[in-house]
Amino acid sequence: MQHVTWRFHRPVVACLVTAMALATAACGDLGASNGTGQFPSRNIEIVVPYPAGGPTDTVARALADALNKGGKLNGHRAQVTNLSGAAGASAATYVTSARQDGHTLGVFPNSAFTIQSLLKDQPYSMDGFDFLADAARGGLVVVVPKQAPYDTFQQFGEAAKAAPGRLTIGNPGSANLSETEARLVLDASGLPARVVNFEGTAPAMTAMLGGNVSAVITALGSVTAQIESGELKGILFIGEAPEGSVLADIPTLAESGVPMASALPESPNLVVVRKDVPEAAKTTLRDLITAAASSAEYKDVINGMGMKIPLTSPEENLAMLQAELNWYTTSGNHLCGGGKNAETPLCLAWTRRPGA
Amino acid sequence: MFNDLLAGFGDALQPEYLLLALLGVVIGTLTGVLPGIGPVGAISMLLGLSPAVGPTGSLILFAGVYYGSMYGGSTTSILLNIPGEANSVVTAIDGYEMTKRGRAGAALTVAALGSFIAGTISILALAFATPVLGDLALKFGPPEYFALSVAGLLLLCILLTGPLWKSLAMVFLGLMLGAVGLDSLSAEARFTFDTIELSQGIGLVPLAMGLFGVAEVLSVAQQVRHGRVRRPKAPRLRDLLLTREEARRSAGPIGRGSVLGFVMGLIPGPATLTSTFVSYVLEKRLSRRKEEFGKGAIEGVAGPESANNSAAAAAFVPLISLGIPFTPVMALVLSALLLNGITPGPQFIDQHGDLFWTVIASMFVGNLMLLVLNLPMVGLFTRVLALPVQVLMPMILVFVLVGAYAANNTMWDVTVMVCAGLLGFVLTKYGFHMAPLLLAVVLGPTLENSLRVSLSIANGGFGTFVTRPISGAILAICAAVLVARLVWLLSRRVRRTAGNGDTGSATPTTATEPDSSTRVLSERSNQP
Repeated sequence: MQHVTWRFHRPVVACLVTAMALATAACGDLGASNGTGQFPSRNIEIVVPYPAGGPTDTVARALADALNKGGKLNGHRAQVTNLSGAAGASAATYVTSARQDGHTLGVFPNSAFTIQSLLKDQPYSMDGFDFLADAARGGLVVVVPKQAPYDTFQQFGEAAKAAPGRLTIGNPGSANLSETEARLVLDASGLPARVVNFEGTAPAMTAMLGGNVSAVITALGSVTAQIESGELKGILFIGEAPEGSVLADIPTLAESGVPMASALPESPNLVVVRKDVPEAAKTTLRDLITAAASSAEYKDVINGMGMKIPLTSPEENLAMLQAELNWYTTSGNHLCGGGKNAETPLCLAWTRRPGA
Repeated sequence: MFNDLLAGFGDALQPEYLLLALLGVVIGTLTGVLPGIGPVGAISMLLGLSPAVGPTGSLILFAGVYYGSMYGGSTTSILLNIPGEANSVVTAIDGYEMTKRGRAGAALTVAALGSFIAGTISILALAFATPVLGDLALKFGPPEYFALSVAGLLLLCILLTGPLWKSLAMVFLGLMLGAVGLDSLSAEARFTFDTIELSQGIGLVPLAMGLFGVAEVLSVAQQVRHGRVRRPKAPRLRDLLLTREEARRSAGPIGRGSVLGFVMGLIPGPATLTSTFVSYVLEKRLSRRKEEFGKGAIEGVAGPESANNSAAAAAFVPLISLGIPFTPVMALVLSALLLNGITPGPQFIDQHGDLFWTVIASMFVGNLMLLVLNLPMVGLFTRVLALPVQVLMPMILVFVLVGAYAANNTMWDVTVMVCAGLLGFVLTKYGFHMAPLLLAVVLGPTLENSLRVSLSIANGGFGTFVTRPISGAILAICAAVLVARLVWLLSRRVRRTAGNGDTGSATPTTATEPDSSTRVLSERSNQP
């Protein structure tokens, strides 16, 4: 029997080798940098603070793809690593503790540096990063199913007033821009509708299509196709729609008569690098990102999701984040809706924030 | 429609698509067989290829990986009592018992055949009923998810052998473990002790690998130490095939598993896993040989293995008909389409008909490839049992360690797995089942979120759970089953005390189990 035993040992070893190979592939390229050559001198790693498959991940992957197709990486590659967990803290600390040669980037939403750092002490801070570029920016939209009895936000408001507390606006989760904006809009327009938090855009949309909530407020990328096909009606746009798209027809806050200045910016997808990377590397990175983001393929992906490619300067990005932080610190009590929403997790987190 | 499908076959049989389908099913089978890396991890790694292979190629590749992993996951469950991925936990219950009785080949064969038949049925449903079924999925709202989660946990507890309180205790432990981390509705940290690691929650993959894999290695090690290891022998060649009796007994479970898996796959949540539990419970209920479940009933392998494949195919329905991904794997497929400039939505089949039909045709091809690949492998895989345990067990330990690390590239997952292994080893020794614990960890977040969202929608009214027809009916069935069980237990106790005093040692559970001596005998009689 012994020879049989060892003959069939082999497939198992082969499996083990494959497991090792897969594991190494997952770890990314660990090849050493030569330190003297041109930038980039090794593969560029783009870290995303979410699991693969979301809008931020799609932006990062489209960017990596455009960088690779641009052919300016000295034969190296850009690749995406998903480091979800701890609401973005794992990915942020990964970027700030990476080597200082600028080969580790991150793509982050603004909330990682603004509301999340206000609500909770984070192991990273805005000062540790340089905000190289805003790779894609999108507004928020309030949608209703195509058979809903309202075509505009005013009509939605009238229906809400006719049945106080009956209409609901679903959003993809607490402590994000969608919930904040939903509460601000209802607060500013004095509507007696309620906000329902879900655990992501998909469950919120499913519940709305099944008639369990009246409307959903969410970021654009996830609903653009349904608005274009007419399956969903956009009744309110918060931000600036890309010109020429079907989204540009959705009424804005001002057009809907909501007395609210859009104090919060639209959601950017910020490409960040640790602050103490040499200036030369940062300049090269910016040029590479600008070239990649100008490619037709990249534009197709981003515009297809209903987002714009602003490519603002690092100074503008920093100023935008500062303005948002200032808004929260001066007007954050809006989150509690003048005491009306005092029991909501968002308001509780706000009142309990460090240094409050 | 048939013309569309034929045209789809014309495209799918092009060499490059055939190659991608083959690559997909081979990678999928490997990720299924190897503990740790599941379909989500494998597809995440392959997502970078998406722009290069195009939208059709990406869908063919990812679909291959997805159902390939459903096929492969059963192998280690059946042979070693170590699920290759979470969806095959249920298969291990009776699959491993079959292995002990020398029927490993039959178990693997029925798993492959069941997967193939379920795959074919569900692809047909996907091809011809997608627009209709998308609307069915919407009939289920948060109150229904809540009712289904309650039903899943309760029914599993009631139908497992052993005292009810032990199963319920495992459910509560599982719910607590599932609550660790950031709460997904309000991002509040729970049981995290201010550590980053715990705030990510306890990973399902390391937990399952610990509770089942590491615990099994430890228990074998203990048997070796006490010199009473009784490992199953590798079956002879002629024992690899299904007997006529086994084939007859498998037909019903495969059919029911296919339908059940498909319907459950339409509902958001971890359907590929939960459908296996429900199928197992259903088969046990329907079987005339209830006592064989847990002792190597072939129905317990055929049903669940068909259900998870069927559920995997059904997950494509909401993505294609509504443009909404219900599962993490479908979110990755959506991402692959977005990266290729295609945004799926209700118009997907109209706008991208050729893509849809090519992918459907290629799923048929891939499914056939899996059967052709897997059936000859049955003989090869069963030879693993010929390895001495002193060689096999350390190798398995290396596999699960590497697998736990590779899934997320963190040592934390390895720590979780080792701790879960110790926990699983001790609890199993004291007669606790690990299946309700794992199901509770999986369903815990669904249970909690759907409860909170339902109450939030209903403005705090609990009435919503009973006034809605579907959730009301499900909860009523649960209550009826629970009451029936309690009445049965009580009446038994009354009868026993009324009978005579000296039968106190006969607990309700051992009464339904065959005597352990007959079990040893049947094991021996199967050995050459």
